[in-house]
Amino acid sequence: MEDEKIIELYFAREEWAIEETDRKYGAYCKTIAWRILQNISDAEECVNDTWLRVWNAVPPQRPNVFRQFLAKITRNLSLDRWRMTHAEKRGGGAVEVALEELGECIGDGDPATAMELEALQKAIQCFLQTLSERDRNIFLRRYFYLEDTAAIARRYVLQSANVRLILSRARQKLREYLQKEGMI
Amino acid sequence: MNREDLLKAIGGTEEAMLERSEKRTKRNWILSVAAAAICIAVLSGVIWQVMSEFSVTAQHVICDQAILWVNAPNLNAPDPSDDGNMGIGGVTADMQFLRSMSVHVRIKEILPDVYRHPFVEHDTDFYILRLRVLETIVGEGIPRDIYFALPAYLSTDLMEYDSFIMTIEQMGLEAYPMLNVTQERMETFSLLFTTPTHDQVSIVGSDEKTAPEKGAVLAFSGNQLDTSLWDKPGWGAYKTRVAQWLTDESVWAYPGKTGRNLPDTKAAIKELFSQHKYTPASRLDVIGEDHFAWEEAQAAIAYVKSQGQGAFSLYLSGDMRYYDTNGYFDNDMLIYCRIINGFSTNERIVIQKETRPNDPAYQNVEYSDARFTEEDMEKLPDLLRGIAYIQTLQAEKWELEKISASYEKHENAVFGYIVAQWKDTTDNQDVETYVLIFPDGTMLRAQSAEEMDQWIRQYPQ
Repeated sequence: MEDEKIIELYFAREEWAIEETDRKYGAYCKTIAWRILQNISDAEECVNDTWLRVWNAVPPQRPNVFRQFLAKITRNLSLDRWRMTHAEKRGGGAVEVALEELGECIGDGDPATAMELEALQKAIQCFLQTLSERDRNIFLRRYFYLEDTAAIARRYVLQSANVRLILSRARQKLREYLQKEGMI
Repeated sequence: MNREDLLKAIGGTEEAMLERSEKRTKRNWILSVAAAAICIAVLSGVIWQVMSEFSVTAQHVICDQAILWVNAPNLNAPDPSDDGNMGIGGVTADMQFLRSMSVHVRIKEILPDVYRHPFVEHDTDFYILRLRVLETIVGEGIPRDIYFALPAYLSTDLMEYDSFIMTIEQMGLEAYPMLNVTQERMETFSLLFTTPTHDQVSIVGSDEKTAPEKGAVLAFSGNQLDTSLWDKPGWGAYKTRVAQWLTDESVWAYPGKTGRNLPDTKAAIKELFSQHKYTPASRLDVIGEDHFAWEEAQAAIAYVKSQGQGAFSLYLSGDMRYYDTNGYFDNDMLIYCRIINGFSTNERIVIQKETRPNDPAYQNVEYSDARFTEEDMEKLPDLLRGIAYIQTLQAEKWELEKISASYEKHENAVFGYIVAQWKDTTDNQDVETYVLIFPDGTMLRAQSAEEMDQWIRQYPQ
């Protein structure tokens, strides 16, 4: 079913909108969640939570790109769950590695307020516009989708070492950008 | 602000930007997606029919429990390099209610074409196997011949077995589409199975004589109880069966042991072990093996392969990051699954390496993660006892959805960690209950996972 039709089902409050969403994007969202949580059952729970969030958000929201709308919700729910359950127990997972890398760009201050977070989001959007499309895509695959460098390399037909270098430079640029904007 | 804020802020990226990042460079993927879009619109692809023995009205009442256990005598391997010891990563045992079926099968044929899930983001190739079910170990209504989707790189491993016991999960009650990559068309399977986790098959034994008795405790990769199917036609009995598990003595019975007095878990499982010999897998498929150029990583892979009890790779992760201007820090992780005495494990080796750019001779290799030693194995907490206790915490109008039990090691102490998830039918809210078992056998009901973690960290060593 096309995305527009699925969204119309949400607006009409037809419960089988969720079924259609699951049918079309269930596996996609599960992949995103699994990459973060590394646990099938936790990933499936997050995907179920995603459907509930979508049901509550649409309407009034009308997503422009439905697939990515779902990806964002799933990712953020998965990260929240990861923080709650995995922070102290496991090591070396995709989230921990990503956090270690991003730690180069920003200090280790107190958690941001809601307003600071919103400002940071806007700054990230502007920063991403300064990157080439290839570098931006690689940055997002790494830090939004939390893909490992080998998978990114396969996606864009690059060597892993190239991907790592691109990411390293992007992080350096991000640090300089945030410094210039006075955020760190 | 900190790095977690940054990761969170990246989550607010515009959807159009994310969409563009999905485009791959490989042309055949785009072709496949286009072909899939056309085929979905028409949906007139070939429909594979299941053998006529299958009854459309069959109810797949699925229930089982599994204890995944590691009883390996040599968890600490000889050091393959001169630095430090190579240890196996965190070893856990999980007990879960599962939605899997378990069958004893042999391969009748492998369909010649390569398949993909049409809506899955990563491009894992699947083969479709036609399996003859020799025996249904867990489950009902499974037809004599089934179609089974398996990641391609595992199928050649299965071909080496005359027969095997495996867990399967039905892809859906209605027609399930798969993209035939070879023919570039959509095909619909009216009954298609796969493993609960798409990347892993747990093989218990290849000999018909070792097929476990019905109701015996089996080992396989886990899958969460899926309550979303309960209201669908044909699944009603499933819900009742879950409730019966809690009081059904036969579910908790081990060969030769029955009754409400739960047997000595460790002894019972050891007894079960001895009955299930296996043939080790003859090869290990390591995903991304060529990604690891270090000798240490290759040594780790060679060590895993040398484990005589068979292993399958699950996931490899590697990355490099800049630590500071004086050097960089590499982190490679090998996560793998072993089959030990018929039970699967999830283990990992994390290899960290620090190199200074102006002094290439300097290397410090550390293998990290908690290890379960042989001594730990002798004094593991009794998880079944903890699960029995957690069931007494059920309130009226709560329905059990998931129960998970695992061993957690912190420094020198091993704990039992049990979480149960319930559905409060009065307001449809999820409720979780937590029980921690201390090394001395004491049990504690905690309010949250965070509290459990706190108790673990503060436990006097």
